[in-house]
Formats: sequence, structure tokens, C-alpha cells
Amino acid sequence: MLKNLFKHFKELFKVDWINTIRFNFNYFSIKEACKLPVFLYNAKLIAMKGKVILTQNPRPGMIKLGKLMVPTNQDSIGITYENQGGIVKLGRGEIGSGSQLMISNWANLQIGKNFHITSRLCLLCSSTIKIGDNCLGGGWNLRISNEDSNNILHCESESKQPKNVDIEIAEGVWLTIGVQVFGGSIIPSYSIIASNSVVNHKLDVQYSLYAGDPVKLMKQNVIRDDLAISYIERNDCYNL
Amino acid sequence: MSKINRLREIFKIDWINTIRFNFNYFPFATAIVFPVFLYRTKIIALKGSVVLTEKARPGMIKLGKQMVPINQDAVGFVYENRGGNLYIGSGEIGSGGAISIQEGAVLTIGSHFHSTSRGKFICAKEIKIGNYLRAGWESMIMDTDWHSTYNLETKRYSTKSKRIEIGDCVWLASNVQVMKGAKIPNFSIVAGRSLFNRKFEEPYSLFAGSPAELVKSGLIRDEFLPILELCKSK
Repeated sequence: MLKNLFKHFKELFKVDWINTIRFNFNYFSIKEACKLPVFLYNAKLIAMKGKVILTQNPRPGMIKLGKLMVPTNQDSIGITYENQGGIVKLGRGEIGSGSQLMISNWANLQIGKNFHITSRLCLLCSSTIKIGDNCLGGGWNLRISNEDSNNILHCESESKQPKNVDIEIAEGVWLTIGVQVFGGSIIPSYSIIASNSVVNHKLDVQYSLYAGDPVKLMKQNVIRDDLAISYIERNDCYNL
Repeated sequence: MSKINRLREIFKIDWINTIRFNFNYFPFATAIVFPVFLYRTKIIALKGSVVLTEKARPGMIKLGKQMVPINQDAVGFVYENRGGNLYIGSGEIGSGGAISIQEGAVLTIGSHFHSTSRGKFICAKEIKIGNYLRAGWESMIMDTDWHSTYNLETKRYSTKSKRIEIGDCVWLASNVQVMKGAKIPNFSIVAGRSLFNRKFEEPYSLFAGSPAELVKSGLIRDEFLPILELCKSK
């Protein structure tokens, strides 16, 4: 009990209080900001334009950005945040150390509740990125970006319409180590993307495992262990 | 000049953690020789046991030493042992590396291993590595997925971690990931940015791709040629 209290107390010293206060009072009304819903750890704030909207009731430290969660990745430190005028909608969750969030003007980033990304996320958002609830981006070195595909002009292709570069990640998706998600990709709910694979198109089947560069369907009817319990409960209800 | 360099090396060692490590794991007669040198190390857990497979020599194992001058941003070393066994011969792991052993796991590393920079060894069940391992930058050997998957049809959980076996004189190039259930044969080469997760038996071959496949056979790394000749003469 005492040990647990001491642990929580130690955590408070690791929070970057100056940037945390700057961030909260910049984005939220005074009533919300006093509760300090967002904790930043070792943060570098490059631009704080645009809007940040909370989708759940504000509670102290409900969103933790830049927290060290993987003990073996000691060399990844802090979080870099740059918002040039986009809208960010956030639920409750954590993003680990060594991460970068870059949101350009008119962009739209939505992350559902209970997201958990352990270390070194690189998220470059220039149009729309939607991430569903319970998204367990478990892996390290993730890259979710529609920045680069946006700049290519379709000179030679016959259809002059610009490519759709929106990214949609549904609920309960598990992205493992070194996964890269690029513009135009849609990942269905409860799917698993194997390590070091690249997603750049629409995937169809849910509850399945994808792997490769670019990704292909490998296995169907699989689900991550900690989501399985809730799945079984839900299914039993249907059976009854 | 080399003497001055050697003196400078001594000042780079993290002596507090080196003393902590050696006297925690070895009996006094071995610990006073300081077989393990640590450089800027973060020790997370010091449980379990460490067994030397060779005769103790000062600095026979160097963990976290800066070996690649252009990777100056890779600093230090992380050691985490939550109650497993580590059998280790002489060798070096470069800066930015990590050894992580979970409870009840067994990590065996042969002698003369050499991992240059940001090499990670994460063991939750069993990893067996032969002698003369050469591992490039950001190579990672991990025998677990940390989570298992549940099959909706057969209603069974998959196994979370499987044993990894790496033979003698294996060269892992940079950014290689060795995942659960892999078996790398003797005298083989794994090309850069490949993901090795299958079992192969053919020695003297080159593997590449994600997942890795056999690309070429009948070749070895240049520095292993004398070792191969020695093996054949015996």
C-alpha cells in the first residue's frame, strides 16, 4: 500500500509541469484546464494552434503523452508536439516516449478511448486520420502518416482526381513492432498487423492477421488474448 | 599512445553499477577480477543468476561500450533480469543495447559474441546463441510476442513464446529481427532489414526478406574462414 503510494508520488515528479500547464490552459476552458487532463513528459511543444477536444469527462492525467513505458527503450525520450491548426479529438489513453505528433493545418485527427501506444510513435497527419476505441498500438517504431502521399501530383495517371489519403483504423486493432500505415489505408476492426509490415490500401476482413510488405491476408478468425475475453462474453450473450 | 587510450577507457566505465553487478552475481574470488564491465547502465532488476561459461578475466564481457563512432546518440545499456538464468561467454554488446530476461527464462550466449550498436536480447522463455555471433545495428532477438492470439474457430489460445536457436558463426546484418520459433543454422548470414521467424537447417547460406527465405547458399563471412578451416581439420 505504502509502496504503491510512493510509486504514484514518484510519477508526479517525472511530469513536465511547465509544458503541461501551458498545454492545458492553451486548449481548454479554465474549468476543464484546472483538472489538468493532459500530462506531458519531457515535451517539446513546437506549435500550439488548432483545437484539442476531449471526448470523455476530464480527469487529472487521463491522457499521458511521452511517458516511458518500455524499460528497454531508455534512449527514447519525451514527446514532440506540433499542431499548425488542425482539430484533435482525444479519448482516454497513453502514448509512450520518443513519439512525435505533427498535425498540419485543416487536418483532422480522431483517437478513440483506451488507446495505448508504447514507444516511438511517429504520427504525421495532413488530412484525416481516424483511430477507433481500444486501439492497442502495442508496438515500437510505429509510423502512421498521410503526409508524403499527399504531395504527389498525379501527372501521368489518366484519372486526374487526387487519391484518397485518409486513414481509418477501426476499434481493437493491434499494430505490432515497426508497422507503417500510409495514406488510403483502411484497417477493419479487431485485426492484427504483423511486425515490420506496410499497410497502404484497404483491408476487408475483420478478426484476421495481416503480414508482409505490402500487407496480405495470412490468417482468419484470430483475436488478441486480452480482447478475447470480452469477445467470448459478447458471443455467449448472443447464443443465449 | 595505446596505453593512454586504455587508461581513458577505464574512466568511461560506470564503476558503481559494475561493482553492484559483479558482487551481486559472482562469488567474491570471481567478482574481484571484475569479469563484467558496464558502461552508463540503467539496471532495472538484478534478480536470477549469471553464469560465466569461460574462465573469469578482467573485462571479458563489456556491456554498453561505445563501438560505432557515428552512432553517438545511442547511449548506455539497459539490464533487466526478473529471475531468469543467463549463461554468457566473453564478448561485447555495444551502446544503446539491452538484455531483458523474464522470470524463469534461460538466455545462453556463446563466447566471442559481438553486437555493435542498439542490439537487443529479450528473452521470456529460452534463447540459445552459439559462439562467434556478429550482430549489426538495431538487431533484435526476441522470443515472445508479449500477447497470444485467440482462434475463434478452434477456440484455443496460441503459444505466446517459443524457443529460438541460433548456431555458431552467424552474422545478423543491421535491423534484423529474430522472432519466436526461429532456428538459424551454423555459418549463415541474415541480410539487412529482414525478419527471421522460421526454421532452417542448411548451413553456409544467405537469408533475406520479410519473412526471411533462403536466397543463396555456399557462402560465409570472411572472418569465419579460419574457424571453418580449423573445424574441418579436426
